[in-house]
This record gives sequence, C-alpha cells and structure tokens, in this order.
Amino acid sequence: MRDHPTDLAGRLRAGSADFAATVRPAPPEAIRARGSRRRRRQVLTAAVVALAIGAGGAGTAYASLGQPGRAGHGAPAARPTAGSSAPVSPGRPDIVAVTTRGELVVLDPLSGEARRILVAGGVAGGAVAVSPDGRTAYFAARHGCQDEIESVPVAGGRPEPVTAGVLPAVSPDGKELAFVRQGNGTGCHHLATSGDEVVIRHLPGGGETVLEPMAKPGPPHPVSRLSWSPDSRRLLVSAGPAQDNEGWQLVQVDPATTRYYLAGAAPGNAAVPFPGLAGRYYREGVYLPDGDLLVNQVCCSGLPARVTSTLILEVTPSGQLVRQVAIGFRNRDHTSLDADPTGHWLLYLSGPDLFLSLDGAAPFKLTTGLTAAAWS
Amino acid sequence: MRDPATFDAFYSGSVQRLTGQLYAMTGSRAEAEDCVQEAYARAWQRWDTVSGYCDPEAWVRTVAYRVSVSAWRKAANMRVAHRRHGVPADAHGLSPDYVAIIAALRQIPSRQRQAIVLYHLVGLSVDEIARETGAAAGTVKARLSRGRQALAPHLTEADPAGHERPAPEPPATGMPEPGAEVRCDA
Repeated sequence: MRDHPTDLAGRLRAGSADFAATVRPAPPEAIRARGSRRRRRQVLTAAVVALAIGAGGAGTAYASLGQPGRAGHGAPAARPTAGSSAPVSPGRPDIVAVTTRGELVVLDPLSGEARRILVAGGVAGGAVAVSPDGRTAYFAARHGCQDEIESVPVAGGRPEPVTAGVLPAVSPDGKELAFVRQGNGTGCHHLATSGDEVVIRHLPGGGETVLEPMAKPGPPHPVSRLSWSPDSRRLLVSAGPAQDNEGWQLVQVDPATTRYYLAGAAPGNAAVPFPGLAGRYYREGVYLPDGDLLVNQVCCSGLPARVTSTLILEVTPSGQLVRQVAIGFRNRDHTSLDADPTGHWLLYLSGPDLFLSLDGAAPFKLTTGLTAAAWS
Repeated sequence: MRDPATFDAFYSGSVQRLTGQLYAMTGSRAEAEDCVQEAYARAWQRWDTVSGYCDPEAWVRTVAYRVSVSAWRKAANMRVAHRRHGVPADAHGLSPDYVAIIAALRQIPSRQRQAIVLYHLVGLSVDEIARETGAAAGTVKARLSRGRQALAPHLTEADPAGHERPAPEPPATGMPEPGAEVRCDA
C-alpha cells in the first residue's frame, strides 16, 4: 500500500492506480466479438425499420430523434421578410460549426455531415460568425493562453489572424466586427473570468470602440454572446451576473452613443424586460432579421439558483412573446442561437446537439458533437 | 478496414486505467467494468473511425459514462447482477482512504462528480472537459467549484488516515493548466 498524498488529485490518482491494478479485463478477442455481434444486430434492426417505413408510407423522419418538445401555439405563421416574398419552403443554407474536437467545419444542412473541414484543430467553442455575404467565417482560436479571432474563407483556405478576443459577431452590413476581449489581455485564466470588454472593430479601417461594463469599477460581468440588429446600429449583449444568485441580462446597446454595455450603465442601454414575469432571466439572445429576438429564457429557484425551466422563445424587443419554439432540457446549456438571413430557419445547440426549426415549428436534432454553430 | 492488432494494443494499454476512472465516476466496480467493456465493444464496431481520432481513449471514456447513466441499462443490469452475485463487494482490497473518497463522490450530483474526476484524476483542463462533456466552459467551472464545496465536509469527516484536508484546492502540480493549448494533430 502506498503513502497517501493529502491533495484530492493525488489521493484520487493513488487510489485509482491501486484499483486499476486489481482489474482483470476480458481478453480483447471477447470485446471484439461483442462489438461484432452488436454491429450485426444493428444492421438487422436498421433493415427491419427500413422495411417497416417503406410498407407504412410517409413516416416522419425526425419523430424519434428526441426533440425537446414544443408547447402548442397553433400553426406557426411564416415570418415576413422585409422587401422580399418569402418562399414557402425555403432551402437551408450551409452551417458553419465548431466540433467538440476543436475543428471548424461546414456542415451539410440536410444530413448534418461535415462537408468541409476549414480548420483541423485548436478552435475554441463559444461562438462562430459568418459574414453577410456568406464567404468568410470568424472564429476564436487558442494559442497558448491567448484567444485570437481569426477569419477563414468558407470555401476553404488559410486562416488569417484578425485580433485578440473571443465571441465574434459580424454586423449585417459587414462593416463592423464585435467581439469580447478579456480585461487582463494576454494573461492565463484559471477558474475566474474577469473584466470582459466588448470591442467593436471597424473592418475596413481597423479602428476600435471599447465598451466597458459600467462607468465605476465593479465586479466582472462576463459576456456570453453578441448579436447585431438588422440595421447594424444596435448590439444585443448577453451579460452574465457577478453573483451566483443573480440572473443574466440581455441588453440592447447603441455603440455610437455609449461606452458601457450593462443595463442602467448609460441612458440608452435597455435590458429586454419580462412583462408580468418575476424570477426569470434571459440566458442568451440574438436578433432575428425582422428585429424581434430569439432568446433562451431560464427560470430559477433556490439559492444558489437552480434551473427549473429553460425555453427557446421568439420575443419582441419589449419582451412580448411572439411564439415558443422549444422547451429545452434543464440540465443543458442552450447556446449558439441563430437565424438564417431569411429568418425562416432557426438553429441552436442543446448541449452538444444541434437542433433546427423552420418558422418556429417543433425543432429536430440534426447532429451532435458541436460547441458552436451558425448559418452560413 | 478495422485492424484487430491496433485495437488490441489500444485496449490492453488503456482498459485498466479507464475502468479506474469509471469506477470513480460511478462508484460501482461491476458497473464500471460493464460500461467500459460495452464502450470498447462500440469502439471496435467503428474502429476505422475511432482509431483516427486524436484521443480514442476520451471517446471510450465518454461512451462508457453515457452508458453508465442510461437508466434502462442500469435497471436491467442491476437485476441481472443481483441474481448472479448478490450485493457487490466493491471495496475489497482498496485503501480506506480511497474508499472514503469514492463514498464522498457518490454523495454529490453526477455531473459534478464527472467534472471532479475528469479534472483531478484524468487531468483534463476546463476546456477539454467542456469539449468532452458538451457543457460550456463556465458550466464546467461551476460544477468543479460546487463539487469541491460539496465534497469537503464528506472528506473531512471520514478521514481514516488523519490528514488535514483543506476543502477547495488549486489544480494539482503537473496537470495541464485550465486554458492550456489543446491541438489535435491527427
């Protein structure tokens, strides 16, 4: 028996090594045989299911894929699109995504398969953004202790560094890149996130506007998502709480008139309200092409806060419900909310699973293994 | 084409370590051994793909954990195991200190337990845990923090070796820094 170290890691490792020495594993041939039997069973089951669907006629392709569900709000209405007649069944654009293995890929929007690998590794999760012309993807890559935003052609090519930061968001007019820069710049972070700044970089010239949380020094308010309004004039900031028992806030900011991103820090900064609802907050939100918002509304109880419900909703900027898109899983984060340029196709990540919804109808799972995604 | 030789080498070199990690996550030897075997069987099913991953061990560990939290499988296997063996004697041959840690880990929520094991035992960084578990990095940090807090009273009370054990602690020396660069060259 070895000496016991006093730290948790050392004790766990020592104990686990003792335990591992007592494990008598089955021979590898037995494991391979078990795997081969399993494979044969699955092939047989798939053949039977295919036969059954063929005999039964129109089956719903996504009915069994564990969708989070949706509360009924009647038949979803087609979202009006300014200046264009929306197609009845619009085609899905490609999806640019970050995988859990740190790759940046282009996904086939019908199968969910990776169509192209743009960057083979080292891409940080959180957010990925595509320019309005669909040609350039912006993502964050980790280099040592430094997060750097880089750009890469969606058609494939060499990544180019843009600036230090994370969570890129390109304005619809293509002139501004908003992103988050962590306050202590190039330092390595451990278990604390401190001093996020929202930075707006003017893409043609390269000049920057920096938004602080508020005028006076205070606790850090981490930012989890940035989104531009359709007219490229306002920025929607999903800002985190300083304390565990406080909700996140969704703040509409006019970068031309303010230097702060928290609600109440400047006269023009407005948090998206909850008409008639208490004890809830928006965990993340993005603008839709018609100016409404796609949000993840979370509802908590207890101290520290415990999630009791998580909903994906479309709301107006004044917080009025337009429709409920999905009921999420309480034990998962719902991130990467995004709408395609027509506003018909919505996507979001539920944990590592990518869900799509057409016109707010019941979402279906397209694929899994992702940490960020956006329409191309 | 699946290559049995590379699979056998991978299996033989990692199965004991992974079973140890799963034991810390599940608190049950039988369950850990069964889930790990099932995960390796699935790895062999698609070995031509899994063998190309930069870290096939992480794939097997993730699958084994998911198998372990499957309620249907758990219920069915429990019935079979009770019929076959009666109540399992997991702690046989282990140090009292490790038994106390495993007992404490079983007192905290499974997601916190998974994060604690991946960070302190496996040695993954916060970003790597986030990728492996599909949670946001902030969520992983919160699970680690709350898991350590929840563990502290259990470990302090049931300390057979009589060591002083401060509750929250910094990452162990020699482990990857949370935030260290992780690149897959495969």
